[in-house]
Amino acid sequence: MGMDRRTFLKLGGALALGSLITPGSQLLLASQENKTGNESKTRWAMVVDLDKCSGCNKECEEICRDENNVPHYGNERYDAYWLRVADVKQHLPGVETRERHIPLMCQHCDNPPCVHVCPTKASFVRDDGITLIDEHRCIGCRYCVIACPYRARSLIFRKSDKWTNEEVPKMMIGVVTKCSFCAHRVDKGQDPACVEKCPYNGLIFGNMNDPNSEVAKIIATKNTKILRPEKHLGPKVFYKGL
Amino acid sequence: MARKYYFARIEGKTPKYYWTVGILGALVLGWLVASYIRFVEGMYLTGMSHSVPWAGCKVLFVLFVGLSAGSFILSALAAIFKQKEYKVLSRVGGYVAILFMLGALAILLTDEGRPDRVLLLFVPGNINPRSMLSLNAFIYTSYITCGILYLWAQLREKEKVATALGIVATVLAVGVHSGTGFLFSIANGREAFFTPITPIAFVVAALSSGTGIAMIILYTTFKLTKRTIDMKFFIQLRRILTGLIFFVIYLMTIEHLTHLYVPEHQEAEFYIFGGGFFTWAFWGGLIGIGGLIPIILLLNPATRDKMKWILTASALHVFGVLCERMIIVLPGQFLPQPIMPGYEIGSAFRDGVITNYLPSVAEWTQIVGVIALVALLYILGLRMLPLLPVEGKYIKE
Amino acid sequence: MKMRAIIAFLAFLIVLTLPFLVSAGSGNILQSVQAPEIELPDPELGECVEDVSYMRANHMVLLKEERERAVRHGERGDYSLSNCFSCHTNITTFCKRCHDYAGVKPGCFEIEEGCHYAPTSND
Repeated sequence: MGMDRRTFLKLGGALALGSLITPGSQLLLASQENKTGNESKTRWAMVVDLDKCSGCNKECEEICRDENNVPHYGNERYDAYWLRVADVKQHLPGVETRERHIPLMCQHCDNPPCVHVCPTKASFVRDDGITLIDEHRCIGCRYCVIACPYRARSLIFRKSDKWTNEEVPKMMIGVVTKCSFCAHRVDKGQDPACVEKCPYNGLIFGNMNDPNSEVAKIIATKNTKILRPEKHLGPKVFYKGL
Repeated sequence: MARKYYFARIEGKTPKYYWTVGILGALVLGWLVASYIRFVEGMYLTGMSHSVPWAGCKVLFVLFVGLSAGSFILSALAAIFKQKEYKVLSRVGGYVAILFMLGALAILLTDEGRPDRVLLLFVPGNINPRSMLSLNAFIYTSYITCGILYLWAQLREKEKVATALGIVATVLAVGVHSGTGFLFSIANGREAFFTPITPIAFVVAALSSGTGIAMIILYTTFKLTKRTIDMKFFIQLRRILTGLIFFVIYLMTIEHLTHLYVPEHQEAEFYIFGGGFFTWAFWGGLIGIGGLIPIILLLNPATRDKMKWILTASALHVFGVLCERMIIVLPGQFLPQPIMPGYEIGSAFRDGVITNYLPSVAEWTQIVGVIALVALLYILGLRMLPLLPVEGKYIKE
Repeated sequence: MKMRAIIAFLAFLIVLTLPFLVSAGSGNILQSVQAPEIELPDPELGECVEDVSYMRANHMVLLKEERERAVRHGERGDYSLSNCFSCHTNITTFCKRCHDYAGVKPGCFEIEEGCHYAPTSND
């Protein structure tokens, strides 16, 4: 009997090891895939020129909502935001610092934690670097909301009748949504709505793999910053003048 | 001297039994109704927000996943380690383990935004090997399947099959608990979550709270069905429980000391320890009520051999582990994420604000309903399956 | 005991066939129901993207594949809903009649709950 038990334990141990190794090797493969993905021809990126952003009436929030039918219920707890303008102040005790305004949206990382944690691959990175959500596949587990370091994602908490732009579907209830870089416009060759309609032209959109694009030139020559570089996520929204 | 026990169903014809079934059934119905309304109307009926997307239901989920383990280990002691005396508990322990896991999956399912789409988790093209949740879907289901097969082998007295399945299920149980711990510990976005120790702490706390709840359930069942149970089990389990409680406290100390040392995590630690609800939950709930008091009760010679004190200690420890689960799930989400460190930030999306969360009526109904579901299935199972030993009837081999 | 089992089986059988019994009772099942007539779009607009018979059988597959391509790869082609609606300008007289007859609910643009825009007779 003792021998039997030992063999069983051995088998169990081998099973446990095996179950660990398979996902481990898959992990490696997945990270390889990501690296090749970046070398495709188009890689959409955005530059936010903060010197031009006056925080106006936070018009881009409204523009974005109208373009993408993002619901607004008037309840701070569950209002969805694809793009929001945050008021930031450098934290220097005793010194009155200038208040600045910074549009925050999905940063479209190369290495997005939200995509890594999605249990159904509803979140994915498109070949041109845009991170998207397949709303027909999302099961609403909200793990990605936990995992996103930029708070870019919002759940649709309530049925929404907002349908300002009929080219874009209405929001589905119970799924997670976020900024798509206006993928429906980008596919038609247009800029995202916020870029096109910003009254101060503070947002620039383009292909950062094309050395002649405005975005690539700004990133190459001017001083731009990305948010939370310590996370090594490779965000594709660059902030100039932060 | 080996004994072979007889097992039997309970009669279950007293008015008390029917009343219990009725009340529990009503609560389960409440769970179904609340879940349906929540699904149709939307999640705004819960207390959750964009900052706190995993809340009360997830706390119950991780607690139940934990409780499942202890009962299973108790049951498997007889099968794997040939502790013949534990054969008395093997069937009922295995059954309770399956129920807790089912309860955990029930609350997980009805907590999703789109429970109607849950089968998409199992479509081959959708499986995401980098996602712990995707892998967990398979680990959880195989654990339950294995548990059911194990129970079947126990009911049919197939000793060798039960031993084999018991080993596989024990390995899977470790996977289930580490996997659930990983859900939190590898979430990149929340500072307070990141720690490699969570999966280990999860397994240990699961074992300790599971042993505690199993003792309470077994004692209550045997008492209510007028069976006597050998005090010897509880003395042995008491020793295991004491060791595990020490281990839980040790791991929690290590985790929080590590975090306190690193400036990046200090803010989160100061939030947990800087007064308020979680400070009470940690010092009062986990360390005091769930740790020190049970240890004193279990080590003090005056109390350690008395049934009621062992049970009190178990109940207190389960409460302590509930507090620990809350400390794992909630404060990491309450804290604002440092999107721009060194800046004060504020926006309409509640950036830079410490959010709060209170479970709503819908969530309480779901939580109570799922607890009732587990209890209901338990007492129905006692009547339908021969789980409990027949008093004084055994064969000497 | 045997009696009870037979009664239980009969009750089960009745519950199982309840939908058929109800529609038989209301007389629908005995009439031969004609397939509904749908209003076809103006023939001057040209041919549909595929054969009519093929479309009749497989339009949902095409739409689903198109959705996969558009969402996942950004390839927005001819099989999209908006392209359908450029000719079929009224879903109440085109889509809905057949769908009601077949008892299939097109979830994409059900007037109350769907998310996609569809032109109706009210427009």
